[in-house]
Amino acid sequence: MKAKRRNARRRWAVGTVGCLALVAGCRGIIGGDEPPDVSGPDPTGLSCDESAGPTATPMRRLSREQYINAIRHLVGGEVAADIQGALDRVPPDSLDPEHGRDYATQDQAVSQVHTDIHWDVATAASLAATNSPERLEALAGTCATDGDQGNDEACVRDFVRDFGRRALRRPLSDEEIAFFSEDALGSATDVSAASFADRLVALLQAPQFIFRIEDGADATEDDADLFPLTGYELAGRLAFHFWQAPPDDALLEAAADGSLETDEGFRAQLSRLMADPRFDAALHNLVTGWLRLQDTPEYAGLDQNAQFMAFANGIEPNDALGSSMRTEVERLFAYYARQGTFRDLMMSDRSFATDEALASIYEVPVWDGEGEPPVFDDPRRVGLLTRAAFVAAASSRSHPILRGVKIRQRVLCSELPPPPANAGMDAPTDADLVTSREFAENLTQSSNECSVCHDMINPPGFVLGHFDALGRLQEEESLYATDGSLLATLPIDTEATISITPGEETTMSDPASLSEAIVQNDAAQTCLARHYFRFAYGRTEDMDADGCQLRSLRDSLIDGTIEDMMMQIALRPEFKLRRREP
Amino acid sequence: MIKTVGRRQFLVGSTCTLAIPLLGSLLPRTAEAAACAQAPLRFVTMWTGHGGVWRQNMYPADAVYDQQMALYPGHDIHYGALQREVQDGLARLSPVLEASDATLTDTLVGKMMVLNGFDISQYMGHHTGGTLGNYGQKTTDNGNVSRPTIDQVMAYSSSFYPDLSTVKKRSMHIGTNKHGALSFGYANPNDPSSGVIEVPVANKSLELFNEIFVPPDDGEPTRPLMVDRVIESYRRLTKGTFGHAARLSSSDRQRLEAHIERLYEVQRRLNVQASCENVAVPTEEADSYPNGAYGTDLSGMGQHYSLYNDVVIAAFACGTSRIAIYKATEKFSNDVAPGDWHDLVAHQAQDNQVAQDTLVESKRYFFEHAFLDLVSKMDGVVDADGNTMLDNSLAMWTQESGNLTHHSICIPVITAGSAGGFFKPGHAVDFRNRASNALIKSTTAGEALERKPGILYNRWLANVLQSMCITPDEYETNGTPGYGDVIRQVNGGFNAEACWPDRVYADASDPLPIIT
Repeated sequence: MKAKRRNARRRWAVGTVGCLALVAGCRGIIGGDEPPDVSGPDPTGLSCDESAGPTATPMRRLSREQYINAIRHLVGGEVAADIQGALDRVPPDSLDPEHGRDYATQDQAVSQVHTDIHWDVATAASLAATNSPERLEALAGTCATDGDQGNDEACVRDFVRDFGRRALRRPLSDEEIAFFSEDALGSATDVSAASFADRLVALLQAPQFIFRIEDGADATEDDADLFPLTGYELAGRLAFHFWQAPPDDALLEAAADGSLETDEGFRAQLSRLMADPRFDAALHNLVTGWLRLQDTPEYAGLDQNAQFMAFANGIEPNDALGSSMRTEVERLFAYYARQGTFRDLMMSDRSFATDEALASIYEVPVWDGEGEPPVFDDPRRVGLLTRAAFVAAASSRSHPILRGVKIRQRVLCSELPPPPANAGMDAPTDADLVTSREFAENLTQSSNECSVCHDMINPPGFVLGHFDALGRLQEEESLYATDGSLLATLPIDTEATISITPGEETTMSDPASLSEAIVQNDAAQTCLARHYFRFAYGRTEDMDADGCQLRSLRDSLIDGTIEDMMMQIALRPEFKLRRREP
Repeated sequence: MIKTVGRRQFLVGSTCTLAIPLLGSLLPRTAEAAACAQAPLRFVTMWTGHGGVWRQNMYPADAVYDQQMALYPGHDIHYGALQREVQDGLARLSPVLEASDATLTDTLVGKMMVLNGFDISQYMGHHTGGTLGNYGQKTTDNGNVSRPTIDQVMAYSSSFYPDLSTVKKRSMHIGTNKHGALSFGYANPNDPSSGVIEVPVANKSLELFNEIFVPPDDGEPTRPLMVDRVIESYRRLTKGTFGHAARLSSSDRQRLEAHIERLYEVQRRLNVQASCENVAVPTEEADSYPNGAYGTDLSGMGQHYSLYNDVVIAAFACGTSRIAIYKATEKFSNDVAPGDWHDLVAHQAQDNQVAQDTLVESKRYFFEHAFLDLVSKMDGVVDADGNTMLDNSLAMWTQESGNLTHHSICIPVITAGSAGGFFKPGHAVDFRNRASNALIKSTTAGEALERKPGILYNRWLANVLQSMCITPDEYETNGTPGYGDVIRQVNGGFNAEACWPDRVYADASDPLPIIT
């Protein structure tokens, strides 16, 4: 690896690409007659004023996943299974990666459709949970079915108090207990199934259930808009963040006895949450949003494509293949998140393929999901960037431009504008007897308008040239015609000069060097820290106002493990505070 | 043949300048409003992604446009009667607008409009919300204001829904919100400051049917609803009885108020009684067939949309909804690798014949099996006023872009129905200014990419709103004519002022010539 330093390394660089780039192939004129402003990467420091406290946090609704988990938590798996149809209708949270909305938690919209379906779910759950004496007993106790009218009032109050505490995630006041005890006919003593169903509807529609309302404590003395969280509110934040689910009884108990508000008690609960299998939900959401794994190619139908089938050479294109690629990266991330560093993730030589198809792509044994993951034989297969989900395309030729975009946008958080108006997304035809790299170069190096951006975008993709469009290692690139016949076999050139750190160019030709360069550049860790912040707080980060937290997350990722970073967000003072919007 | 000038020019030229503020009263809108109040109007939009169909493939042959009129000095529009060509069992208006002659009948053709020359006068890139007027929902930020789409303007307008007693769902939304929603509305329809949010789509056709279907009354006594209690719990929270309202921000309280409004809507729909006795309950789920998202099974996709169309028509017939919005993907080809559609077809079709052919086939398929399937079924249902359901509706199919993908110039609009007589269908109209070279540039590829500026898409949206009884004072923002933002900007160094002179903005709420 040859490095040419132009400027001193900037520790706080965030990797903004200050160019008007064509993300795909470039043939268009961008932004008019004036050449685009190409001032080069614009390192932006993360400012930090620790005395500023958190930025305003609006009241948040439960995400789809959190809402469904909360319903399941409250009514139990058997009832939840009965109302699966209603739960399936809960609208998916809307993502908009082009505007920085990568995570379900960032969608805070509540539409009429949400409210309609929440109502239907509450109704379905209440009916299913009371549709037999056994279920009614499971819900409200034997007092609901024992025929003893003497205990009915207490039966109702106890149910509202206990179920309400779990549903609203805090103890109910006496007034609230009285309110939620009344059924649709105004009775607070009726223990019939219909009456309990009414109470369930009211509690599952309550604002404190649908929304995460944090209003339990007075403002701090010196800042009227800054509120410390109560123990119960902390329990909610912890559980919904680390589990995407409501707090369990142990968390609520820790809130009740005050231990959650002690440093020792808080850390104990934090460790418990992160050791729990439910922590996988957070890991899954984070890596999916960070790398946009939902955009992994879909292969169903490609079996009708002679060109692809000739290229695939025995790999069956189906839904399972893309799913397997996505899952492998989720497992990779979870593995190192629990026991490794960011560098481990980026330099891993382990396969997490648990099915034959992907394992054959990687040329390793299938992993059983529990023991030591198999090790890749070829040293070029290193780290996250060489995973099938990262390099694959649903075509017979690889796509170095999109690989470069993925590295710039997702791994380094570089800002790339959308394709210009008259951009073409040319793909090679049978007449293009050139490598994927050459085709991309021809497409994007034809004018300065294109090359200024693609000089940044393309080279990282070129370095991954030894991986074909299914993620298999290839020594030469085989070109297939649309009828499936072999057109040519061409040598691959993976050498490229890349600027990861602003002002510093490095010539490299193998994925290990590329990954190492990325690891050594703080932009990648800053990028993951930014994504984690978005996921945790459900909003796009403010590089200034949230600078302290971002620095803290990034530094914990540089100096420690991925798990350290994930824990760090809860250890920050901002996690235990809420700033009221003006 | 050159016909008379437009209405506004006539008034100005007739020394009626002072009468301009009274234009509304001069138009036959009173009669239309009366018709609006009587007719059970419905509105349908079908949307497919990208666009990029060449003009000669999307629209009828030039010879069809055998008449012209001066819209403005130096801007003639061209039009003609829609007439199908029939050969070998296929009826054709254009390569895309082709179907079985048993489906694309003369009757149906007489109820259609094929409209060219509607422009969003700014670079949109990829967008979804722009189709129904939310130009703020797109990949590039030109400073547009996010606003409700016209379907949601209708959905919450008492002009469109003067009587909600049978309405279970103000609008139905079908398809996928992947890569962006088509419909947007206020979080609280009564509070424009509550923010503009996406309207989610239905998951399943049978679930949608259950939402719009009112089963016959079984005579069983019903238990009172808990909605009042739930609403009361929100009130107590916002008032501080159930918490400390002062600790919430005003925007948080606003969100809770919005939720109360939505609960009122839940209460309203739960109390709806409607007659659906004659509607057959479907048993087959549309989503058991490919839904268009990366699918390649053509016949399956036909089934998919046909089943959703049945639900929509059931809702229209029951009166439980009058708006349906379909957001489809554009992938309808058996021949192209699914994951490569974007690269191999959508973005290559502008100057690649093979890709263009594939695109044409996909759009043609959608036209026949989604759009025509719907409107022909609608034409088979007779409303109480003796008109067909289609006559009392406006169904339109449009695409994300015009004949060059990413560009919102010459957005194709294919319609069926007259909206209760507001529109005069049976025409192909080309609103483009064919004399203008303001959008021609050397890098585009000849006639296939020939682009001419037309009139504003905002005006089309305004006409749609008017056809659905929404008057300009209800939909215009600060008196700005038309619907949607009016930013004038073109990427690529074009002269935007030459493309769209001030007059096209000034007229953006005026009824369109020829078709109204």
